[in-house]
Amino acid sequence: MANSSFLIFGKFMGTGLMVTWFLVGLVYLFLSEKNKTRRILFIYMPVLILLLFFNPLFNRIFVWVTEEEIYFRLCWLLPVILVIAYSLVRLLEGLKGKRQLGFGILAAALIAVSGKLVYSSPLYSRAENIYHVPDSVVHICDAIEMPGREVMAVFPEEMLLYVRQYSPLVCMPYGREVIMGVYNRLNEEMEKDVADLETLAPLTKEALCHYIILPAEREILGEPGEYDWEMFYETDGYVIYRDTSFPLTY
Amino acid sequence: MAIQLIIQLVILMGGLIVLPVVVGGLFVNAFSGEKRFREPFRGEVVFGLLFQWVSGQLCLWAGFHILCTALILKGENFDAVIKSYGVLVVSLLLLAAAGEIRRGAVYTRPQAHAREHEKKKDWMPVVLWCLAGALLVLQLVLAGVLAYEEGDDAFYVAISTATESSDTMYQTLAYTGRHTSFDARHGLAPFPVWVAMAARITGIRTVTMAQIALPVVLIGMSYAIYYLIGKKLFPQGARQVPMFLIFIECLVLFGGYSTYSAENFLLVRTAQGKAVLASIVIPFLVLLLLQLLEDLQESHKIGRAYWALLALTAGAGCLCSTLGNLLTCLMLAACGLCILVCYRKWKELWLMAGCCMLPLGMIFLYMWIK
Repeated sequence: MANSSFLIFGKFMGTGLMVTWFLVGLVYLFLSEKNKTRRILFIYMPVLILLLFFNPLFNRIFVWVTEEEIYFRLCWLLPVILVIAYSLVRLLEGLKGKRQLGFGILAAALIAVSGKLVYSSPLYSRAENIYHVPDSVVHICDAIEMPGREVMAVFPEEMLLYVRQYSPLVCMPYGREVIMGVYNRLNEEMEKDVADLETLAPLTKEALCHYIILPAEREILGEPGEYDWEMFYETDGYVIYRDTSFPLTY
Repeated sequence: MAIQLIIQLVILMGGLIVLPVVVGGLFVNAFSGEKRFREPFRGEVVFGLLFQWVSGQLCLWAGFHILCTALILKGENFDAVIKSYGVLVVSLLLLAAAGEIRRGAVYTRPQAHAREHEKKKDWMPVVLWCLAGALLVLQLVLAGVLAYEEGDDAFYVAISTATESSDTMYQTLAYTGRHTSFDARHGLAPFPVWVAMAARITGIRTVTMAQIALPVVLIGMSYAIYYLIGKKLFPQGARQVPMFLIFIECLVLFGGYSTYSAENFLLVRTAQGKAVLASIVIPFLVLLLLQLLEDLQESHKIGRAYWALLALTAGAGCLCSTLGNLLTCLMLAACGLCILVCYRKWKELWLMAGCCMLPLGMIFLYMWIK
């Protein structure tokens, strides 16, 4: 259990330097801070929280009540950025003129080098619209939505995160759980390089799908018409098939 | 279309900025014995308004949490939540107005030391404030312009979208839209329902509310709290406060060293309850505890408004995340222990325990339902 606390703290530390600066800040404040209230808030309380975090008994109780994967959130009680920023300003207070300016710039540069720019994550991209959802998802959902009733549609994996954020009227046989590793036979067939309708179509029918969305370049084995599939719409590199065996009435 | 957008933005500003500022008046003017909360207004209009904004919003969140959780457990629909929240808001507005009339305006007189700073004509604070402002504007713009592929949004935003559309709460699976039984872990921290309510009232599409409108407001609120903390830490510091804010902004911007850091959550998952807990509720608790410790140090009387605000802040933590119940209690417990050791004060310890009643109740409720 104690080991798991260390592992989780290691993940929270990430590259490590920023939390190191926090610990350095704690030591600096311990040695220099005279104000009792700030000593309590920026030294004693964080130390207490760290002791609690690494306490195996507390860890065991926490995991029993909640779950281990959210144990790292206890670290949010550590005033990491407050201690670093407060220590830096305290250091800067003691300097004058160009020295103050130079140290300030150096400190900001050190933060930049020690951390990682949040916006540099490859998961960031320029928003395509005011929904922060890919245009393709917006266009497909707009095409298949029926006001006043829900429709069932199966989407390729790259769209699963966004469909129900944008449209509550579009239901799916599976969602993000398959990206997280939950096996789903229909998803497996949907993601194959060649869509074999003999296998795929019965699965979509079993899931009561009104619509099937496939990438336009996906090779299809079989004749869609034989499975009551008709091409409904094509947009943004995706083809929407409508399974006519499921009527869309109110 | 343009007129509709303007109307939506006006409602948004009214609901997320003006309303909390007015409700926050409860913690500034309504209690005659507590000059401490009125002091900021004498010299620091910005401090006072920001304090009102944040405290008002936390009060509204705590109220929303109590109402919404009760109605979810009762199996009521989303409309019932909006109606009862409307009653709560009107009641709070009337209370705030009554307090305002009773106290009279004490807002505008600048303090002597504030004028002294102006006389010195030090250009450095102006430069530092411009830099701090530019960094803030950059983050607000990027919150709108950049999209992040965040897996948990597929859950939380989808819950908000479904709630707003179907008028039901936590009765459908977020990922697929299928019906489900009550999910205690998420249902007892209904922040997505608050997002849905904001969308319903403004008329802004839920996904836009969660991905653009709220992040802009919540990032601003988070920095407002850091500004308030900076002002508390450096009360006479014309340079120190903007320096402090710039360092905080740099630390947040470069907080991508770990996907678990609160800074990363602030910029990446802004409108998720857990990000609000890490970036708004917990920093505001730090501010309140700083005030409490200073008052204990100087043997000042700590009034009812303070304890009410502390309890409401802990209550707002419950809205954000089920873990918020535990984290707010732990923070208050750690501070209470320090107070006991350093000041030998028992009364404050009991009052702090009293402030944990709602989170503790939610923990027991969660365990019972689970």
